[in-house]
This record gives sequence, structure tokens and C-alpha cells, in this order.
Amino acid sequence: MITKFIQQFTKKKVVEERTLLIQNDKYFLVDKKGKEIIQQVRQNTGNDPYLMGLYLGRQKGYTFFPSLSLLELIFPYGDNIVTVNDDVAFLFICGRDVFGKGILSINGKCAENTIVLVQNKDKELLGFGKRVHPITSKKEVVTNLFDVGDFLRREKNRD
Amino acid sequence: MQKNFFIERYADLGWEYKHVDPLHAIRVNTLIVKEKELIERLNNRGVELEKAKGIQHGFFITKTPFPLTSSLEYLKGYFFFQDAAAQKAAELLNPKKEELVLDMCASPGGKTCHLAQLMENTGNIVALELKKERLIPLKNNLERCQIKNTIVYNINAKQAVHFKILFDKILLDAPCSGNFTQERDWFKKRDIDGIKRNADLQKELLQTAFYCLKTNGELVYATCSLEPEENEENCAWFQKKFPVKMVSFERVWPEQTTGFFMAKFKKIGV
Repeated sequence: MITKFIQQFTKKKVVEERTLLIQNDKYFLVDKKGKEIIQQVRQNTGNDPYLMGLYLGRQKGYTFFPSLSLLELIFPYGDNIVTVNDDVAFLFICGRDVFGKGILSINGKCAENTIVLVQNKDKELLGFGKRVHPITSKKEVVTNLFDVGDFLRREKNRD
Repeated sequence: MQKNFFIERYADLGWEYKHVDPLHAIRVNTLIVKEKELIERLNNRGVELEKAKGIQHGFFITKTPFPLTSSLEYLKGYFFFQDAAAQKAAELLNPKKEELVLDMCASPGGKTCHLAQLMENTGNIVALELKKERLIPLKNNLERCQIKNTIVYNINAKQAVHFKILFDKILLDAPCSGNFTQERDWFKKRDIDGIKRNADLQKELLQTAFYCLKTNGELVYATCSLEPEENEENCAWFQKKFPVKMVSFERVWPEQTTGFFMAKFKKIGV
């Protein structure tokens, strides 16, 4: 599932399988020593960790929900990247879609219905979305699928 | 009456009570951003920061024209909101690259992320959190700050002894009575019995920490309590009961920061 997700952005192998651990549909990258600790704790107490190493995301049904950490791993190798201006960057991290007039440049083909990474003019990853309409369209060009503002919304939902 | 009791004991300890509003502070997450770059960037957006003395990457926020919690810099994990005094705890423990560290009471993860930062995201941190609802902010903060060396367990820290793992270093930021700068009506809600109950729990956690520590390993015991039962008295008890040596300790009274206490111990026997 995670491999399929990553392949939407790049053909490059960004996750080493030997360090991958899956628990309760959650994906993690854990080093050798970390795996030994997990094994020892399980043997001695029967406890499994709630979280381990680098959290990559979780699978829910047929959908994979990535973590920001996974997207940051993918980001340097992303085939399709849309760069947006400051105003749109702000709106995007508030969960909004991207419209044509805020787009500064497009790297890669970014064909319709492809999954694209969204960055600001300082080349900082903001999230990802789906290219839905042509850049000349008055409709949304990229629909927001995930953005870094998610952290804030999670905290607010918790309150 | 209750308030006077506390004020008098603080005076006995050498501090005259006063109302304080501690400054909000941040710690720059140097794992993903250079300190100078972040400070310049925030300054350019009208945020005024003042370097906090005695800590490596801490800054007081003296003025901000917008809520920093909704800034891209915060969301990207470039900094962590953390009281300046609390930033001293991880620095006092001083974990090194590739070490094995236990963080006994981890959520919301400010000190856990700080330990990872000092270890340059190498080695391993085992972080424990008893309360299920407190795992969510811990997870969010570890993810936001791109921490990759931490294993989190939802268990009572007292069970850590059953792991049968000996750690190079341990941070015990113990559950405590807190202090009046952090909570409204603190003086009305606290009494000496409650403080003694907390002190007993802290002793149990100190005992667990001792058994989880390697010989010559180091432990930092910290609380944000101002009460001697939870601080100096517990440290004296720990030294009397176990073969440990106190390396240093510091009590921070509320001023620019909230109140804080920390002590560092070295295990010298089994």
C-alpha cells in the first residue's frame, strides 16, 4: 500500500524495506537497534509500542494517509511539483484548494488527475493534492488532499 | 490561609512570592532548520525574540503580530513552544549521539523532541506515557518535529523495570503539583496532603529509574513544583536509599519563566 502511494509521486525508492514496520495498519521506519528494543519489550512485558521510529502514515480501507515525514522523504524526488505564491500558500495550509492565478510554476508534467506536491516560493513542502483542471481554468487547479495545517486542525478537533 | 502557608514556606526557602507572568518561549528545532535562518525569518515578519540566557536554542517571544501557532514555521516543526526553564532539563541530561535514553513521562513531548535534537535524531529514546489521551499531542509533536529515534509506549512508567533494559541516561520529568504560574486558583486547589501524595509517587518513579539505569549512567529528575517535598526532600531520600551521587541541582523560581526544579544523579552502584 505504501509503495503504491509513493509511486504516485516518484519512481525512486525512498523507503528501505528492511527498516519498515507495520503495526495495526500504521507504517513506521525503525532502525535495527529500535527493532531489537521493541522485540525485547514484547518478550518481557507483552507490550507493543504505540509509536516507533519515523511515523510514515496509516492505511484505512483502501486509502493511505501519509505523515508529513513521509512526504518530506518523497519531496526531493517528486516528479510533479506545483509552486504557489505566498497568498495561496497561506490558503493552502488552511485546507483550501489551489487556483490558477496563485501558481508561480509547475515542475514536471502535472497532467490532469495526477497527484502533485505543493510547495511555496521558498521551496518548502506545504502538502499534496490532485491536479483537476487546467491552469487557465477559473476552477480549482489542484484540490487539497493534505497540508501541514493538518497539525493545527488535529489539535483544535481534540479540544 | 492556604495561600499564606505556601507564601511563608517559599520565604523560608529564600524566595519572596510575587505575581509573575512568565514570557512565552520557543526552542529552535535545529534538526530541520538553522537557528540564525529561523530567527531572521521570524524577525522579518515582525516577531521580536530575545535569546534566553543559559540555554542553547531558547528564545523568549517579546512581541508577535500574529499567533505563532498558526505560522508555517510552527507547522513545519522549525520550533517548539517550551518554557525556557523546562528547556534546561534535556540539556542537563546532555544525551549523546547513539545513546539509549528513557523518557519516563513523555507527553506532550517537548523534552522528548529536545532529547532527540541533542542526540541528532540518532540512538534510541524509549518514551513512556500513562494517559491514553496524552498520546495524541505526543504523536503530533514527534511527527511535526520529524523525530525518528523514539519508541513510545502507553504504559505506567513504574512498569519500565520489567523491560529488563538498562539505559545510558534517563529523564524523569515527574508528574507534580505544578505551580501557581501555570494554573489559576492554584493556591485554592492545593494542600499539603496532595503534595505528599505526589512526593510518594515521585519516590516510586525514582526507584524505578534507578533500576533501569546502567551503572555510571545518569538521571535527571525534574518537576515544575515549588514544593520541597517534591524536590529537595525527594533528592535527599533518593541519595540515602540508593547508591547514587548528586552531580548538580538547580531550583528556578518563577520570574521570566515558570518555576522549575531539576537534579542530576549518577548511579555509582547496583
